[in-house]
Amino acid sequence: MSWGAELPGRRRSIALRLTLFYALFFGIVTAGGGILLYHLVQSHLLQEIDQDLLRQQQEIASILASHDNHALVTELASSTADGGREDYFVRILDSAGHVEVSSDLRAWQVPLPSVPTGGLQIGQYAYLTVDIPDARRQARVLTSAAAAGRYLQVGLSLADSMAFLRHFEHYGLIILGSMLSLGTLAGWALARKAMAGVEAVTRAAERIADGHFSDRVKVAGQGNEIDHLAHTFNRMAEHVQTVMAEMRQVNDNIAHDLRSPLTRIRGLAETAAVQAAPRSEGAELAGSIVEECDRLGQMINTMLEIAEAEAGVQRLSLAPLQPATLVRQALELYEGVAEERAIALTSDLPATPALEGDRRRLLRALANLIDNALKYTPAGGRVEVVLSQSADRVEIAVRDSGPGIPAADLPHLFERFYRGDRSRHLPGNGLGLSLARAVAHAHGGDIRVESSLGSGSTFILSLPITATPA
Amino acid sequence: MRILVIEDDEKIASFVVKGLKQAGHETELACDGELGLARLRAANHDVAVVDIMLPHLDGLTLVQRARQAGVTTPIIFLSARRELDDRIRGLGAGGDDYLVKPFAFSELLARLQALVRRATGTLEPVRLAAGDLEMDLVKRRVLWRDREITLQPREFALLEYLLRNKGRVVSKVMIMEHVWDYGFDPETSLVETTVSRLRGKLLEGADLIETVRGVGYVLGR
Repeated sequence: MSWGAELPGRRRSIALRLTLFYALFFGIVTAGGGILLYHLVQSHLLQEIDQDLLRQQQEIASILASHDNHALVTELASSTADGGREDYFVRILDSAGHVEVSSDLRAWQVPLPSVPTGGLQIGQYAYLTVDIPDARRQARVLTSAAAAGRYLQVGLSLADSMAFLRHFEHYGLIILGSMLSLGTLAGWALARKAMAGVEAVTRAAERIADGHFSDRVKVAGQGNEIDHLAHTFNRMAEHVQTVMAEMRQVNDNIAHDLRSPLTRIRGLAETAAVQAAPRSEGAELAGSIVEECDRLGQMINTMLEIAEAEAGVQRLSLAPLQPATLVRQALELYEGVAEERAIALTSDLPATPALEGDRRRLLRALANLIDNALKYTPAGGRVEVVLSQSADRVEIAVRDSGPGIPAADLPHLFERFYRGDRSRHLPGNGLGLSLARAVAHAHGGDIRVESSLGSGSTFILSLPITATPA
Repeated sequence: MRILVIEDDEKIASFVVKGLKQAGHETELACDGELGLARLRAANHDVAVVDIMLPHLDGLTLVQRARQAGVTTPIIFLSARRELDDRIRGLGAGGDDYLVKPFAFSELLARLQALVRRATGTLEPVRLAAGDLEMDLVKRRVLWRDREITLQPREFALLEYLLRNKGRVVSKVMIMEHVWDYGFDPETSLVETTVSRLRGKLLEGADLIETVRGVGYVLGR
């Protein structure tokens, strides 16, 4: 079946998708958390720096307010050169933006921002972050308006903070990477664990589909979803088993209930047929009744035979047999029919290994195929039976020169009582092909059809050399 | 032959008993298991026909008890259920043969005679004959009024089977089974064709083989 081949691929893709989902989930959560944390740290650092700058500004402003120039110069010098901070500067600008006094600016060597264009009221101040192009650094500058139209500028390099943030980024990426691989691993392990349960259920389902109705999935007893699935599946399997057993019982009962009246009718008609004057109307009538009883009886038996074979409860009488002999015996049955209808019934029977099989059942299956081929072949046509061997199988192909089978009929050919439009006028009970396939299945083999309109049909009975009854 | 029929279905019992009487056999009927067992133990029958499904006592138990009581009468089972086939065939039940319903009366008769032949140790004949027809089973020759007739193996086997059942109707299925070892009616004209070839070779003796429409063929009735 086609879905049987598709299934493993689908299963793998679920495991893959689960794994990817886990990895992605871990990645997104880690990255999101990292980015949030980064921003929090960054803004916290900036806040600290801003407060630091404000404190410095207030200190300088108070010195400035006291008009003690000496103290100011001392303060500026001490705040940078010795014991001071190189990453820090102070400038005092006049109202035109010219530098009046500044700390040691050698470490800065760059154009520092001038006074904000809009100007500031006394007591107001503004923060500004400036790029320092040479070293991919940034600096934070606080400009405030002092008395007499002067401006006071305090600046602090952001190098340390940025170095800290770069470290933060670096470790963040390492953590993100490990979380991704951890997520992938965890996802893969989880997917495998989940899929293992599903696979166990699938295996049991396959066994049941093959006719082992008493098979069950082992329930691990952990109360998880897989256990639930296994439990539900087992309940369903039990139901199937019960239904199958009931069906068999019903089949047997029907067979029994039909057989007894049939025996009566047949017995009475047979008595009448034997007692009536030969070739009299009574003898003909009674004979017809017997024939119809036999046909009905054979139909009941065939249905039961199919049901048993398909359910795998049939007991085969296995014995080694030569496929070529089997074909010859089947052909013998139809030589007369073929001759009457001027159909060339030929065969190609090379030597093959003997196979294990139930002679009578296989003969009947093969006879049904030949019977079928002859029915659909017009007078003057050809039916050919070809024996071949491939690896561990023997194949018997029955090829006819009939009209072929419409594609719409092909999937239904082996259904019980299925009769395509073309076969309704032909004798038969619609069970022949079903029985043939049931027998093939019971032997661990199969039957396939190759046919297209206008080019005849080939039915291929494929049997394993060593029988493996279902 | 003295035959005991243990069957609860009136219609089936009636045509079986009628048919057996017509074939010249002394026949007794028992309608349930208890009665059947009592009759089987009391009288000395040549052969018994026992239905599996019986009121009071089922056929399998009946035969087991009869065997335990030392009854050696050959027994043929009638069964409507194929699932019992293996049990019937098994040695445990003590039956000698079985037939699945619906069966041909002619087949029941043939099997009963075969059972009795086996039980009484009748020697296999070396010659079979009917009217002017003679068959030598050792030399595998067929003579019609001392003139030899050459037959194909299947034709020989068919004629032999008809001769062995001389005067009895044999069905197509029985012929298929004995001559071709083929367990069902393939609904082909194989038997008819072979019979008509055989008739052709018998020439004036063609009428010896009679066709009973729907039932089968009979030789020398």
